Amino acid sequence: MSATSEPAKTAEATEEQHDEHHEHHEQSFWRTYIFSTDHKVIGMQYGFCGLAFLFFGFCLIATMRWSMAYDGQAVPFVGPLLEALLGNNVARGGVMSPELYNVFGAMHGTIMVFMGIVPAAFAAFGNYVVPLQIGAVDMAFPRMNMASFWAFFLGCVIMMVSFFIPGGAAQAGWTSYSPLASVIPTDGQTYWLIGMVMLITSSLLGAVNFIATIINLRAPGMTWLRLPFFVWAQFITAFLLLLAFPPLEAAGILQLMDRVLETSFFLPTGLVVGGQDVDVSGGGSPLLWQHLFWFLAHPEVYVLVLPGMGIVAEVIANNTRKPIWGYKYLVGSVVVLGFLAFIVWAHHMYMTGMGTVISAFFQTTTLLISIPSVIILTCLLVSLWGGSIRFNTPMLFALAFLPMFGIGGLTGLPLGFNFSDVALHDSYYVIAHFHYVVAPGTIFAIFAGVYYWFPKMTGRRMSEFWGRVHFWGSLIFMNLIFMPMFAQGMAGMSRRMSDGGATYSLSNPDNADVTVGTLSDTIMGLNVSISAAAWAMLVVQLPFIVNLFWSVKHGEKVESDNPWQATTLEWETPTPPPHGNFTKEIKVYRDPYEYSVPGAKEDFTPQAQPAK
Amino acid sequence: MSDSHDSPTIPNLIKKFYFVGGVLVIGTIITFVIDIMFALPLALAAVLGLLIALVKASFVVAIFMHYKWDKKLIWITWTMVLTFFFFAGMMGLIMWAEGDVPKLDSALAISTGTNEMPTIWIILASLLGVALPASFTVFTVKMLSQPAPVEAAAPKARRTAKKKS
Amino acid sequence: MEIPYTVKPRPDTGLYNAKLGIWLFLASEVMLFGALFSSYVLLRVGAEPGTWSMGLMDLLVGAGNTMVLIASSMFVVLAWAELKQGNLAGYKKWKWATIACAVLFLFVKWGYEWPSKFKHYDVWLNNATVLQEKFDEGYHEVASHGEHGDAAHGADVEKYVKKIYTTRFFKEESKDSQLAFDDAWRNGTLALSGHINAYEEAQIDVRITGWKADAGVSEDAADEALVKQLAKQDTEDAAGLRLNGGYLREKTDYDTAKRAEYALGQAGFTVALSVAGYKRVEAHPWMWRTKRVTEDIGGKPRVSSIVFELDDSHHKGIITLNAGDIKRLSAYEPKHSTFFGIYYTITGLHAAHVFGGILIMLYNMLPIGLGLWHRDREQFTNRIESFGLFWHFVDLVWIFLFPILYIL
Repeated sequence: MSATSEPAKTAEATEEQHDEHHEHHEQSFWRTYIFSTDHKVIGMQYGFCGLAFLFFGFCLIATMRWSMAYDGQAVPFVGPLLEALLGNNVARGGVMSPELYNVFGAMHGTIMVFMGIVPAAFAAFGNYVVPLQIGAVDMAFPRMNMASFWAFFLGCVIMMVSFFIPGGAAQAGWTSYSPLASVIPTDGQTYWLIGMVMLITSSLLGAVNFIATIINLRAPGMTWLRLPFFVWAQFITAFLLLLAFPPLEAAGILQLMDRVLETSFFLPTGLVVGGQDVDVSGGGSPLLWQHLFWFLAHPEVYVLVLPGMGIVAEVIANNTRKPIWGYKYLVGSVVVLGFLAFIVWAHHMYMTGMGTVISAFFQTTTLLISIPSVIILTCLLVSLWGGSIRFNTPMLFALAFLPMFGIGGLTGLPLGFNFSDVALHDSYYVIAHFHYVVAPGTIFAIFAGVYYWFPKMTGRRMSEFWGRVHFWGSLIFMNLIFMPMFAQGMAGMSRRMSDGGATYSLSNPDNADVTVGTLSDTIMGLNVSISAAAWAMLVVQLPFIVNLFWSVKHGEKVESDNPWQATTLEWETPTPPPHGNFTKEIKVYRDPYEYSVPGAKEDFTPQAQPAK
Repeated sequence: MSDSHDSPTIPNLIKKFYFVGGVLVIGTIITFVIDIMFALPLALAAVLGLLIALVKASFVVAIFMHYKWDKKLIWITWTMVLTFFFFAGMMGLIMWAEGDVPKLDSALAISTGTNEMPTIWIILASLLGVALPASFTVFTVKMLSQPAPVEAAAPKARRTAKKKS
Repeated sequence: MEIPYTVKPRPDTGLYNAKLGIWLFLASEVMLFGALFSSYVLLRVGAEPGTWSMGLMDLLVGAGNTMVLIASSMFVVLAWAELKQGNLAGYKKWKWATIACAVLFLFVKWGYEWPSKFKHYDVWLNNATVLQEKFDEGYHEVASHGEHGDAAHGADVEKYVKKIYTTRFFKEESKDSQLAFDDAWRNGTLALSGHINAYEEAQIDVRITGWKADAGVSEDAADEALVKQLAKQDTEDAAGLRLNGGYLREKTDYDTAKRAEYALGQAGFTVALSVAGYKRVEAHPWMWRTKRVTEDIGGKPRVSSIVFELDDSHHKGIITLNAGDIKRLSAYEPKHSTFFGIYYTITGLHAAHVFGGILIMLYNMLPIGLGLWHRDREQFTNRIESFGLFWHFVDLVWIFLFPILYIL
């Protein structure tokens, strides 16, 4: 292998040149499975880490939900563990302190977004599937690919280590707003910033790789409009990461300087903390952090969602046995979506005192961006019409994605308008909205992808029965968790309250004289049912985990290289694909979803099959 | 290296390199002299300094970075265009957001936002608003009309699935 | 297994992989530096009038560094041209020249520019009386010798200071600058800028006042800790100290005293620090902050006074500032003001890129990297071309940094 990226610093180049002569170079265990440059291994590494962190992040919130439902009571099972691991400053007697709640809250967000969804949906499936779907032998820069995974891993290590340092991990939310994040004395925030720099670097390297691969390594005949929609989605996602992450990296560096070198980039003049003047020069702007943060974080949410849409498109096309409806509309929409994603960010900042003109600008772009999203969802929905639908587990998840993402998207509209956002900003309504798009949205798409591509990766199917158990359990409990939150948000319940809003509840004796802005017993009662649903949701993931590992060795063997009878190129490889992916020369003759072609023998025609 | 047919020969190119080097040196000297010799008001010094910097930068990109002959490599052009648009958007929108705040007119009333946008901004925004989508469309059309596929395409699939018997 | 289009460009896109990759990377770098530039512009424009320093950069050095980087930019592209013609020796010559320029750039920045700033101070005094008194003291020499045309008499001293202040914060005189100056002069919030030539540093006595037997430390362990901190190694003295108290160290320096305080505190002792006297040190300290001077040790400051030489006074304007006079003291370090914060951040990040570039250039010059030239000339040439693109970007950033930071 003689691939080069920007001038690489390894001496292995020489070694590899010699190995070029051999068909199979003998590589050690370490080079094959740990420090591999093969995109499939790297994809699985990302996938494994991503799924593990999704689960861990979920455990964090499950613990927090206890505090919300039963504030002041020791957390069962987990409480003693917390006290043992984290000390009795924050978990005395197994009861979560508000500081610990904030730590878990900030880390839940960070872990789910940057260590869970991005590696699982973008990096894992992207790395594994994209080169296969475009007919390439690997990514354009395999060594840089490996570097990007290990940078990611290092970032994760830093984040996890921060839980155990004195003072604990970051507490200032995944949004890390200054001045709090700049002045908070515990070191966790500094670790968070350093971890973020590593994670951002990993994503940037990955983004360069994806874009270069998709542009330059498509097989002969694979024109742009013959790319599977999944590849289009990953392509745009990579551009979003490439151009949106660096401002956050810059902002992270500035906040790091604020913390370590006592600068005042984000600290205003005359700041008083704990009754004392802060000894810094002042002259900074807290709003600057928000702008730079949200400049990334808005495109970031499209990074979270687009790979999911790509996976869903693949699974739907395959299981309706007909082409996706409106392929060109899908492509156009995803391109415009990527473009608009960069100029909507301040809709996260309506409450910062921006004037009406600039707010109007952002409202306009925000509403504009809902159009391509709706087009994409509509195309996917219309694709079902007239299809011969196979209801296997991946299809169930893909189908559920549609209404769930729809709910998430539609509930975003009141948040996009300045006037209605005034009431809903920072309430549980927002939490419900974004979780609907990401949790029963992207995570369901990730599940669909796992069940769908598992046979290609391992040569075995996962258990259909347990897949359905996993699906129905997840769907029901997901809705039981997040649907009531809309009500809670509209009743005025704020985010990030460790007591679940008890301070503002009507049954709180302190609130006897207050008649507005307090939470009724019904609303408060929902905390308990939501928490119960969350724990049930946790339980229902166990069959999935067991299924995943058990099926690797004991799942039903697939009967061919193309068990789903799909048209895209990844099914043309042996199972699992070897180093170099394809054993025959790949040329592309057809569109990506040629199912049910008139006059064809079978109800699917692979892309690589020549026209007669 | 991407050989475009009109890329000059290496000796020719080397001559151009020296020329650009000279331009850069002179540009720096002018900037230095302007600032030392003339006590210019800040705004004027800023504009002049940045203009000279822009000229220097154009030469570096066009000749040193070979862009003059790589322009037709649409991916490079497009990446640069997008990047600059998003950079300008980021800076411009942040500045605008920080500037457009409700102003306290008197103890009794709060006026909301700026009363009007300066005309020059409206003109610039309109130009940008037209130029960007236009170039976006042109590029997309160009990119999507790639060279012919390997073989003639097969008959397309039907919209509805074949019913399984 | 070979990745296609690593060396030969792909016909329809016209690019080989690395060239596309490096342009994409540069796009992300534009956004990175762009965010820092945007922050700079925002902080600059949003600064209260009279709080943003200008003209503190040495323009000549900056212009010189610009020339150095321009030269390196030219050399790197000439190196590539030599390679295209198959001339390895020529490539090496130009590449060494590039590396030399890059090293010179870093040397000037990290070896001269930054250190000279770390030794330059701003001092804010407690109130207007102190300010005016000290200022008069310092400029008395200048005024009476008539060194500067417009500071010939004491009354013209204020005019002179105003000129310095105006140039620094407003660039030219205006109504705003007048008002701001008058305010600062009257309220004593004007900063004096200059260098510290010498200072009087506290000599500290460390006294043991007691030992808590129930602190969880055994007597032997406590004695051992004492012995470690004692000037002489005498266990008998240690036991005596523990039981009766007494002087551990006399007239020692701050670091030794603080170390002893911490270590003995951990061992269960109560330690009292007090200032025995002050010693004059003739040195130009680096990166001092307010606390470094005013920190309270047993009721007295850590530094009793500093000998401060005012800027632009040709070594004549020398005043003595007592710790009690000083409200804030800061070197020209990142913490000093948002101007310096952003200055060090942007130039620091840029310098880090220059440093990284040097490492890569060295790799491509030494046998380890040159191996590729012997295996595949075209790929090696492409690699150098890609690096050249990166290097030109680094130069571009500086081309914009120079006017923005040095001139504005």
